[in-house]
Amino acid sequence: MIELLAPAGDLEKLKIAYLYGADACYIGGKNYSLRANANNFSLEDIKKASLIAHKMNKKLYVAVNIVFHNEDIKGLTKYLKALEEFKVDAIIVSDPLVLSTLEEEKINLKVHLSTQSSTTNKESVKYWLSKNVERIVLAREVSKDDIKEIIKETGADIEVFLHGAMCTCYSGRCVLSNYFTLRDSNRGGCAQVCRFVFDLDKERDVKYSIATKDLILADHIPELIDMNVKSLKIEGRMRSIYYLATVISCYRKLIDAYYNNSFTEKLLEKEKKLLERVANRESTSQYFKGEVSKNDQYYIGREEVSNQDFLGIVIGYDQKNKMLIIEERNYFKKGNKAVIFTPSGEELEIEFNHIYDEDLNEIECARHPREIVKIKSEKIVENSSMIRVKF
Amino acid sequence: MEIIYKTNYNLENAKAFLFGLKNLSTYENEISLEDLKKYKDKKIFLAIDKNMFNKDLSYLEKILSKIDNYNIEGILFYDLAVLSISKRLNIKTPLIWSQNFLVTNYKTCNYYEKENVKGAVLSSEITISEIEEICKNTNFDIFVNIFGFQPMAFSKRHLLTNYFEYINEENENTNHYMKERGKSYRVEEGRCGTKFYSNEILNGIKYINRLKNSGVKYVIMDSNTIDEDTFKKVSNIYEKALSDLSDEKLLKYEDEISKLLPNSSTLFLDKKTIYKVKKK
Repeated sequence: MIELLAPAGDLEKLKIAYLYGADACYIGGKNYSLRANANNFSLEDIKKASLIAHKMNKKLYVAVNIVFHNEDIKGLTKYLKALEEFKVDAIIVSDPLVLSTLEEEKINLKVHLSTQSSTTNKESVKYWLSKNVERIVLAREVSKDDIKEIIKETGADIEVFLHGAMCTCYSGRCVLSNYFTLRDSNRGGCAQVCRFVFDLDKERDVKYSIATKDLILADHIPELIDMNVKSLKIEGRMRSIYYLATVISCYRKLIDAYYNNSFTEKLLEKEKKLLERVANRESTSQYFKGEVSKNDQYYIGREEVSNQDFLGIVIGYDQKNKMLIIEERNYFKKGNKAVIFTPSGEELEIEFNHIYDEDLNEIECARHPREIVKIKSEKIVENSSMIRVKF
Repeated sequence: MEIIYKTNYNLENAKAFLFGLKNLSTYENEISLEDLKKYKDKKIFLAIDKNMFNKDLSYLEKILSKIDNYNIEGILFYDLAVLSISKRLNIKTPLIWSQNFLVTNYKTCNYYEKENVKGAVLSSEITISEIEEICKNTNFDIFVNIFGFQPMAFSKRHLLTNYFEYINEENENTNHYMKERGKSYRVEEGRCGTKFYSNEILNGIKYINRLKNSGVKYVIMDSNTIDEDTFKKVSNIYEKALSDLSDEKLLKYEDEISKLLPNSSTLFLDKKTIYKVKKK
C-alpha cells in the first residue's frame, strides 16, 4: 500500500499526524535540518518520537538535509549514531557527505535522498541507487510521465510531493535568501524571498511576483498509486495540528477509498473542498501534468488568508455530566453549528446549544484560545478529535 | 593559479575560457562543440549544468560519447546524470563538480574525488576562511569565482513570460531587473527557465594572494552584463595582480576596480551567512 507521509514540527503534531492516518512522519532535529527556525526535536524528543511511532506501528524519518559547511561537520557522527540507537526508520539526506560518514563510521541507517538534491531524471536516480540510497524524493519539477518512466526503468522506491507549498526555484538551487537577508537557505534559514513583491524594471499597477500557488494532487491519487509511487509526501513541518489533521484525514480517506474501490467523484469533491478550505493559498497540480503557466503563480501581493475554522480540540469526556471537554482555539458562541471530525474518520454535526466553563457555569461564548470549555454530548468521541466550523 | 574567462569577448591574451555547452547549460555564453575549433590554442572548460529531465538524456549521452575528441580541460556539471553517464561511458575528460550553491565543504569534495571527479567550483556564498579550510582538507582542483555578477537562483518557470502574459504587455526588452528596497537584480529567462543574479558584482581581487597560497588552481572571471571595455580593463588589472601579489598592491587594484565598477564588493568572501534567527 502506498505510504502517506506527513510532516511533524513537534511531538504533539507527530501524535496528531499518526492518529489521523499518516503511515510515516518526517521530523527535523535541532541541527542539520532545513527548517532551522521551527521548534524541531531535541535528541530526547527524537527518541520519544521513535518510540511513539513504533508503538503505533508507524515509521519515523529524520531530516538531516542541510547542505553542510565545514563548521557543520563536527558533531555529525555523534548525531547519526544517536539516530541509529533510536532506531529511526530512515534519515533524509541531501549532502552526500552524510553517506561518507555513515560508511566510514559503519552506522546503520537507511537513507532517503531529499528533494533538496533536485533529482529530476532516471540517470540521477540510478546513480543514487548505486550509492545504496533506499528512496529518492523527486524534485517537484518532475511530471507524471517522467515519474512513470523513472519508476518503470529503475524500479526505485520513489517519493512524490502530494500537497503543500512549492519553491519557485529548484530546491537547493536557490540562495535568494542569502543575498537578500544573509540567511542561508540551504542550511535551513530560508527567508522565502520568492514570496516578496518586486517591481520589474519600473513601477506598474501589478507588481512583479515570482510566488507560486500551492500543490494539490488529490485528483491524481489513483494515478499515483497505479504508477507504483511508494510514498506521498505532505509538505509543512511548521503547520498547525488542525491543518495536519484535516489534510492527513482527507488524503487517508482518498487513498483508502481507492484501495477499497470506493473512490468516487463525490468523495473527491468533498475532500477537495476541505483541503481548499484549510489552505491559506490557492492550489494547482503544478508540474504534475507538464509545464506550469502564469496560472500557477501569484501576481497581486500575498493572497494568503488566515483560517479560523478550527474551533477546538476534544481533550476528554466528563462522564458524570455527559460532556465533551474541549480546548478552544477560535471563537465560537451559542447557536453556532460545527463539525467534529475524529482520528478514525468519523464526522458528527453539532450545535453549541449550551457552553459551560470548567466549573460548569454556562457561558455565552468561548473567546479565549486554549480556554477549557464543556458541551453536552451523549456520545463519547475520541480524544484529539477536532471541531471545525460547519460550512 | 590561472584565470578562466567566462565570456564571449575576444580576449587575445587569455589562456583559459569557460563556456556553456549549447542546449545543455544555463550559461548565457553557450557554444557548440564544433565552435570550439576557434579556440584551439586555449584551455577550454565546458559547463553542462542544466537540470536534466528524461527527455534530455539521449542527447546528453550522445554529446558525452564524443566529448573526449575535443581536448576539453574539464566539464563543469550540475546534474548527477552527467556523472552517471560519464562513468558508464568511461569518459576521460575530467569532470568538475559545479553545483552552484552546494559546494560548501571539504568532505563532500572528498566524496566526489572518490567518484573520480577532478575538481570543484566552490559556491560563491562561502567565506575566504571557508575556502582556505576546504583547500587544506582536499586534493581536489579548486575553482573559485572571483569576479562578476553571481547567479542567485534558477527556476524552471518562465517567470518573465508569465508576468508579461498576466499584465497583457509585450515583453519588448531583453534586460530586466527585479527591484526591491532600492536594489536591482537582473532576471534572465531562457530555454531552461529563469535565472536571477546578484545586485552587486563580486570582486575578490584583494584575496588573490590568500587564494593562491591556499592552492586554489583557477579563479573564474565572468563578463556577463559588463561592457567589453570595462571588462577588459578589469581583466588587465587581475592579470597584473597575479604577477604582483603584494597586499598593498592588491588593495590598490581593488580601489581601481571600485572606481570602474562602484557596485562591486567582496560579497560573501568576508560576510558569513546565518541560519538560526531566534534563540532556542
